[in-house]
Amino acid sequence: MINYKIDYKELYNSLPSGYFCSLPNGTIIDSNNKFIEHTGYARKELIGKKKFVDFLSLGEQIYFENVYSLALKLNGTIEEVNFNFIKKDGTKLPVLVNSVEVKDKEGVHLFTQSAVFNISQRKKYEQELLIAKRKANDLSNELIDVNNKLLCNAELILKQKLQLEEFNQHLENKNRQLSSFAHIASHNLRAPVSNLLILRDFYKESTDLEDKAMLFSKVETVIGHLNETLNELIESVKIQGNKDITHDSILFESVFDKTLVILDAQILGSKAVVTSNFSEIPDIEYPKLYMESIMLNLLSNSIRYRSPDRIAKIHFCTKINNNEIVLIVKDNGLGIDLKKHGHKLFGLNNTFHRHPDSKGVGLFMTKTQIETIGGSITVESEVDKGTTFKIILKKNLS
Amino acid sequence: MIRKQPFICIIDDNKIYQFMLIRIIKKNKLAENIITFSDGEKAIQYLTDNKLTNEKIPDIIFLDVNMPIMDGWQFIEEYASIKTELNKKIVIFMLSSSVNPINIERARKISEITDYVTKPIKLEEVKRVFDTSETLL
Repeated sequence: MINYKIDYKELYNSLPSGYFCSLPNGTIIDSNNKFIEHTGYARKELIGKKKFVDFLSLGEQIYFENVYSLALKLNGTIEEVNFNFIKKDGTKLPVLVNSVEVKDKEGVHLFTQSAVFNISQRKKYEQELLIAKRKANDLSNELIDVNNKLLCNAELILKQKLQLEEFNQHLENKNRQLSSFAHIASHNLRAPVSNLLILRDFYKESTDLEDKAMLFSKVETVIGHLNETLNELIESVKIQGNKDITHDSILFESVFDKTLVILDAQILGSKAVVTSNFSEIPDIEYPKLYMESIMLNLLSNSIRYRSPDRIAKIHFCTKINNNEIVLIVKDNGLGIDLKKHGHKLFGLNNTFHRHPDSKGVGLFMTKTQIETIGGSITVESEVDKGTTFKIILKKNLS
Repeated sequence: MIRKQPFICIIDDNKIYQFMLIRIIKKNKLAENIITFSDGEKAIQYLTDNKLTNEKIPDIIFLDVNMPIMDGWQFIEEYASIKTELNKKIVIFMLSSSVNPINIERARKISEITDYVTKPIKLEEVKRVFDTSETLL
């Protein structure tokens, strides 16, 4: 075993941290080389001449006297207090200081041992971290700003999108109406007019008076049809052009009661049981004339197409669905085969039953009125079970 | 040789139109025997009821597109499902006042339909229909 003789004086001087010993009044009476290196002074300028407090700024001197020294006196030891050590050349060195009081047997304070650690690297690192943190904060704020602006823009775009969608829907609606109108005009007007032309030719060719009279009666029939179709078309154009019709504040109940009075004879005659429940949505802002016409058409339809096998039950009610006011009309009548007739249910002059009263105008006009106000009408039906009409009247604005 | 005149069937809900077509056919002596229906369902019923009696099955059908209860397209669907039970070939002409190309194209794709004729039908067209059917029957 090799016996090392440790030279403590040598070890003390070569330690990588500064150490010094001071009297209770603060005068430094010994120090290792590292501490002397920190101060920038020569050993003889320091030992017995300087106090630790001499290397501090005025503010830190006050802190040293009032906090540091007091705590040391109270506890006998103090650790890791940060000071900015001012070297001889005026440059500053951030340090951590630990101190311990050395006392004799009677507890008299003989001197103080202090260790001084250079923390300039750590400080620099801390500073860098602070700067980095500040930069990160700035960047984060900037991002929040940008994000807010983007959110604002997104909101604006969403609003515009909704507006466009609404506009588009309106246009699509209008387009559908126009296209359906064009179809009706082409089919329902073209046919009778061409029939008239042919009948005229027959009439011209004919030499028999009786035959001529018969042909003329046919002409009259066609003119009657033509006039009826024209009136219906004019009515529908009036409705479509009347987008700015005033919306009255109406009670479903009162319009319904009026409808019952108008159809009193048919209801009594058919023994139909007509019920209603408007408690969920009792009122609406809607053109009164249209509401009357819609209810009249739907109720008379349900009565007309009741099943002969059972007592007709017809129920009217209102509901709120997806913020939309919906009128629902349900019956247990003949029903319609929607696979066969669904595509033309609401067309002009389309009927689906061999019924003497079938004229096929009602639903076309009902649909036109509903769509002009911005609503829609849909139907569910099963043959011999019944039919349910759902009418989205308008969005609930409240 | 005197050719036997074809048996005609008109399916159209418009009475005036039925009347005019009958008048054109009879006046020009194209056919004497004509039967009419006001919608497809009644016509299908008739064909089904008389499928075994050939002389009651028409040679030519003038079929309107727009009709209540069962329209022209639905009639064709129903007809396609019963035509194998018939012992007779029927030539079907679809008639409509619609000049909609979608309808015309749709009719072209259906093998049961010989041709699509737009209303108002004129004498020359009726004659052409009879000529066409003569080559097919």
